[in-house]
Amino acid sequence: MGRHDGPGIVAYGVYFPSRRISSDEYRRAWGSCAAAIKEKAVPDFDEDSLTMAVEASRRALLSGPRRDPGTAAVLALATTSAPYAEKALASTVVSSLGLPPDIVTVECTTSSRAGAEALELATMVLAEKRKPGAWGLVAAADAPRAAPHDPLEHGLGAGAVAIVLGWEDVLARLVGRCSWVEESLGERFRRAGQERLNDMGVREVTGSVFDRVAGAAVGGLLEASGLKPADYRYLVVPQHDGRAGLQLARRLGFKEEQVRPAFLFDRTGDVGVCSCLVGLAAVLDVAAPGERVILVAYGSGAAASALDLEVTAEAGAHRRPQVGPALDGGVPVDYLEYLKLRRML
Amino acid sequence: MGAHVSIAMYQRNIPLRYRLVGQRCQTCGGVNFPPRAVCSQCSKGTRFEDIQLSGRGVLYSWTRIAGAGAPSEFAAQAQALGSFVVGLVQLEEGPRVVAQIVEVGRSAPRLGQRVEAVLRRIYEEDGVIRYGYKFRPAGDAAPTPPGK
Repeated sequence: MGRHDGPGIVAYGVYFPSRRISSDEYRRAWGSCAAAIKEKAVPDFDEDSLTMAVEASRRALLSGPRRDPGTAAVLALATTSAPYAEKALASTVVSSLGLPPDIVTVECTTSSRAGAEALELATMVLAEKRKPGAWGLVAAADAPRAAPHDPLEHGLGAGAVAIVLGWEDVLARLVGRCSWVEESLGERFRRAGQERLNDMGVREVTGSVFDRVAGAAVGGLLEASGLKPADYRYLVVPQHDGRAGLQLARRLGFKEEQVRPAFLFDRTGDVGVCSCLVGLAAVLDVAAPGERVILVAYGSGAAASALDLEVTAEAGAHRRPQVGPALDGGVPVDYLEYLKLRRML
Repeated sequence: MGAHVSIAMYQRNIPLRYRLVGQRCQTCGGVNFPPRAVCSQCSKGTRFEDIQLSGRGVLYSWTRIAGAGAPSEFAAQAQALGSFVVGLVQLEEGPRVVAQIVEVGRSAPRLGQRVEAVLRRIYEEDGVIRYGYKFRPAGDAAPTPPGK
């Protein structure tokens, strides 16, 4: 065990629903596509954030060392598109996976930062349960919705990522974190009882909030680690559009090659709480021992989390890439089918 | 399908509906799914232990439910998709179960096709979402995990 002795990521799984809609379909329907996507996944009529979370979790559990589901210590769920506004969400996942009923559960919602929050909180809970074999699960799934006539809708995708945390066979250890919140209004919100996102779209304002909050989280992290941007091999940025995250990286002093491997917006669209975790999975698919990774997540309102990870010698030993296979293939649907599948027609 | 299942009855069966928990007969060792009061294999055993089924199987038979042919609780799904497939799946452990087959699109599923269980929404009633297993095609090259 290294100097950062603690629980970490031991396995992960990625799920995208099998149907795909291309930006050409948006151009056919609306004359243009407002998001810089080539395509994005479309959930089936009978899929939601909970079924996708279960699917990603099963993949994560199959990709790592065999574990008895009945021994899990913590489950942290993240979504902004829960099928219920009130009712435990974790119980559906616990029952579907056969996790124990006395498991500690955390449900992170209402912000696209929630994926990083869930990873952070689950790690903290597991750090307290220091016994051989103790493990936990992070399951993030999202399919955010907006009105069909809202350009914001064009970029909204669907997908799920699950991460198994444990004390042994760790691929990447969480070695630092920084959280940042400050009140900010008007960007991407949904009042209680609403299903569809609103965004006042004042980019000059919201763009600067995003930069300030996400930048502050990364800045705090670098201050704590005493490292420079160049000391990190990868930076995983928020991917709620095709631009803001890349610009943020540049302003913070990171180079294109540190950001690109984790930047998948053109194939995933905005997958809400999963966007940063899909990026992290893409990094873990290729990272080498000793490499450092910063993950920064952002949610309107505004909140950011930055996590500092160190890849261990385990990574690469039993590598089973997750992101490529989950994104490849897919069955195309046209815009009309898309509207029906997403219950917008 | 087509018959009203109360929330209480649905709830009692959640382990089998969400993750295919079956039973092994302590008299003959046969596997039952869904669970029964008397073993379907030996018609004698009444004591069972729960077992976790793999969710893997092959497609034994199928039919396509189109448009107005769907029972009322599946009408919204039939309307959105045009039609959907219901199949009889021969599970690896022996029992045959009826379930929807997803991700086959408009094409005809192949008999003998390997399938695997997935959790999906089955239908909604009284505003409550009923989740449960469906099956989707699995890669024919899928290896059998160790321990089988």
